[in-house]
Amino acid sequence: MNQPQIVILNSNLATPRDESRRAWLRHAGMLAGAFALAGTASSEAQTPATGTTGAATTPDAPAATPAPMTDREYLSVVEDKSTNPNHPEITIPRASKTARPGDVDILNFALGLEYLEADFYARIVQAHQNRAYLSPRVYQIAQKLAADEASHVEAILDILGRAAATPVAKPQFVFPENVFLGQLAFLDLASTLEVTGTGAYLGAAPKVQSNDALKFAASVYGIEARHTAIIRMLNGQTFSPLASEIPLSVEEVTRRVTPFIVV
Amino acid sequence: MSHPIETDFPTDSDFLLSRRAVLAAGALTALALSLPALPARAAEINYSDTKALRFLQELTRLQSDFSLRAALSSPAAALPTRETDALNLIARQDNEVMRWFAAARGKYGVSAFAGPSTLNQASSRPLPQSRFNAGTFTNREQIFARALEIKGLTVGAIHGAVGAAKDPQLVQALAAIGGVQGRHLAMLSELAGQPAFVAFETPLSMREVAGKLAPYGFNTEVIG
Repeated sequence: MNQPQIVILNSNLATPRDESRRAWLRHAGMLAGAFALAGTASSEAQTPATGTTGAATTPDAPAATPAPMTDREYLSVVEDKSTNPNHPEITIPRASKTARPGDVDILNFALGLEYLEADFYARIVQAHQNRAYLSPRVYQIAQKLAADEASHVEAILDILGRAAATPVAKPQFVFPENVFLGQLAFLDLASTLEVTGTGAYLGAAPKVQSNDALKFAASVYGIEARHTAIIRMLNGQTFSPLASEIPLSVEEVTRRVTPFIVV
Repeated sequence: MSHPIETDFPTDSDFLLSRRAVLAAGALTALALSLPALPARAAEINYSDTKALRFLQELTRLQSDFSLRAALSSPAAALPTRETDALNLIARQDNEVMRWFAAARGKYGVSAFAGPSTLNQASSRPLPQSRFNAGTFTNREQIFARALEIKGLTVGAIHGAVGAAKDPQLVQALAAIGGVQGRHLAMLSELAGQPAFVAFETPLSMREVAGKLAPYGFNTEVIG
């Protein structure tokens, strides 16, 4: 059995990210303890994320220094929750720098799943805008889901940034064409992805070491469960078949999402 | 007092009330397969876990009572089938959850009583179990308003307990239940024409939840 590798915890946030699919699957392998990477993945390096803390730097040429903002412009930015992550009304849970190495792996695994969901819903919204195929209510929900999943991605990147941990690179995803053409196909796949995400968080919950990471994961997990209920309801299914959620192992989660990750 | 489940427990009240009391051998009632496995009995009972379980048992008891009353109320009978089915399903699952917490508390040795009352740790005086006492329901809006309020507090309380629990198995068990409670909340919100979800759940403290549910009959003495 391969020894699990600990993600390097250092403050060098300028280190290039690992290649996308292999990096995410490696994190899955760390969690599982023994996972054989299948196939070969490209080794294209990707630019590191800047994160919401803005502490990282990119190897790209620095942007030109912007002109100083007027007081009115500054206030508009501060008061705009979409541009100011520190807006007092935003209550995104923030973990302290206490994420343990194991927690980093778990958060990176979750990040991969959130990347998947965020990309999925964003594409669905775009597809509907190109050719309306969803009912108004379903489209409205898809938009909300896209926004929420993007928030989850940002929040995990923020936590990893605060812990000076390297976030896994965003993989490239591929989805069946019919989800962009038919509402039922979209809802079916959405239901699968949400149940998988919910089960993944629940399966990982006992393994989370730091309290802050656990609280954050729980806050995201709870919403994933709500997503599942609404999607099932829209799909004509029972919104809550059981009295408790079902945890999924890393292996099961990986099996379910691997088909959507581009090699 | 006879216990519906355990019959060979010690009668020493100090032993029963001790947080580190070790359960005598006894089988707990098997629960529905849909519920998570009970957390393994810890060698040393963690006070936070114990207190949380005691609190959540009372909370889910109140919620279950409310859900049942709401589902059986006169206004509920006149609701569209979709809404009636949702309320019935929620009531059924809330009842399962209530019974799970009753058994879980017994597993942790805080109190073997899965029956009608809990014990005040200081005085051994039996505490009345929480019953929803906010009167009857007169219309659909009142049903959903109360349902959303109680369910929202339950979801917040469970997520708060998830963040505080020490036993990893209990973390998962509480989270598993909290997830479905969130599904209930999403569905109730949808039916009430309100946003079904936000970006992140908000955990709530036991004290905050107890205070807000006190007007509905929640026994705040369970949190000490």
